[in-house]
Amino acid sequence: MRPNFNIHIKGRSLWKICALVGLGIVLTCCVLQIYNINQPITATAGSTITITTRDSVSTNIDGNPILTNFVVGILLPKGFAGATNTTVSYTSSLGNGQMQLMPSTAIEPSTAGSSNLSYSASMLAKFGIGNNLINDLEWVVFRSVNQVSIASGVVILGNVTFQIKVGADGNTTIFKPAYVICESNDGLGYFVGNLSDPFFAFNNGARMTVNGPGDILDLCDPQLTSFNPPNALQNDLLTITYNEGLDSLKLLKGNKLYLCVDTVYTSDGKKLTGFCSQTEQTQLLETSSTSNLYTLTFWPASFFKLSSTQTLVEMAYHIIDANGNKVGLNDSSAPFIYKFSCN
Amino acid sequence: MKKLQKLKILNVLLFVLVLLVWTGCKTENVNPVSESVKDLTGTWRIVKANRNGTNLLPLVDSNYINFNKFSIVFKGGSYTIVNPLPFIVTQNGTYSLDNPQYPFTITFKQTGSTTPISTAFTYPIVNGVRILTLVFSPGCPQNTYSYSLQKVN
Repeated sequence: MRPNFNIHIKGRSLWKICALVGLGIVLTCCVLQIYNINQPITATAGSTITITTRDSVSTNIDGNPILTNFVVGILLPKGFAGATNTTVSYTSSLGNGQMQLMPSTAIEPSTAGSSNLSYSASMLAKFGIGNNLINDLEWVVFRSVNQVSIASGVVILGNVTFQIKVGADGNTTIFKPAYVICESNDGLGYFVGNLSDPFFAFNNGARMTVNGPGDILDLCDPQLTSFNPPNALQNDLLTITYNEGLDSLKLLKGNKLYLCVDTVYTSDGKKLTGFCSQTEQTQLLETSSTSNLYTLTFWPASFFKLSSTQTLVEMAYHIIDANGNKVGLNDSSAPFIYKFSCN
Repeated sequence: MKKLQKLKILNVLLFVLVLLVWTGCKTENVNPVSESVKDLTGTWRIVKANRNGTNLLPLVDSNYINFNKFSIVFKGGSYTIVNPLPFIVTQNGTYSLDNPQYPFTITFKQTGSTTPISTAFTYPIVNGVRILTLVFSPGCPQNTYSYSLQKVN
């Protein structure tokens, strides 16, 4: 007789539903929103700016109220040193309070037991660098000093206020901040893994220009030329990319384009010239026939024939075509500047 | 009746099996094989190069800068770099391994320099060929390069 291994469990679906409801009791918390960001679009390096966000939390918790910390994150240029130059406070229908820097050792709950990321690293992994293009930004994360008791079925309305001393590095910086709110029980997780049901809210901010006496760091706009790696020294292999599609004046003709370095400055105060030529060594090659992106990878120490004691500081350069037509900073005749630095 | 015959055959087969297991077991003296000394002597060329995880080989391919032309020759405790590229060291000199049988670190000492430069390296056999992989930062410390080299002769 053929054995019958089919086991029938009555109410199999019922168990699934019970498990789901059980998870719901533990995990269901809130629907969060950042729906109003009041942020300046210009500022002066060294000044303190105020940014406020209006937030709401609709709670849905089975059982007793939960004790948790409000958590906020803001995406800032690394040059701002946001961890030391930012203070955060909040007002809410559950009371007002101060926020403190999230310890780097605190694990963001949705990564606990897997990647075990800090809040800052987890925000970078989940939201990247927002609407910026150059990865020279960091997520600075704060949590409420006091825990808050949150009951079910309430709508918490609140304002978060950031006071930021901008432009600590003295540079002119153009970037787009971004904002995250969550609470410390659920972090950046989702209700039963459903991506349409997050335990957090994320919003991009408007483009901001912080004017300073130093270099111009445009982190969010496509550039005519860009470098990989962005920070390098003379013994790195440096790849320059020219984005022909952004040459709105169409100054360069044909597809033979070259790196023309006008002047190189060294730490011993010397100016080196004679590196503007149209040769195989200086030619940028198009990455594909339709990309409009031209690249050249070079070794600065060798390219500029430096002695073992010379250190590069910066170079002023143009991109030129076979006929000697030039393009410079913002499609002008002024040279592009690249600084050799690790910061 | 048939059942009894089957049982007898099974018993005979079991006896043969036990006999085979019994006679199959014998004590064998195994002499431990000592690990070979890792000898880097020879000329090594780059077969793989990454910068911060990006493959550099298609990016660096001209008469002026070319990974195919770079080589490092190890001989009698000295090394010589041919057609230099950004590397751990820029000058020729001497080298040593932290352990001749199980090396984890290679140390370069450039001629005229008193400061040795050490780096971790791996020395696996890939497709029957020894590959020497070195990881280093010749420029900014946040820029990491990885060169994998294969012996030419």
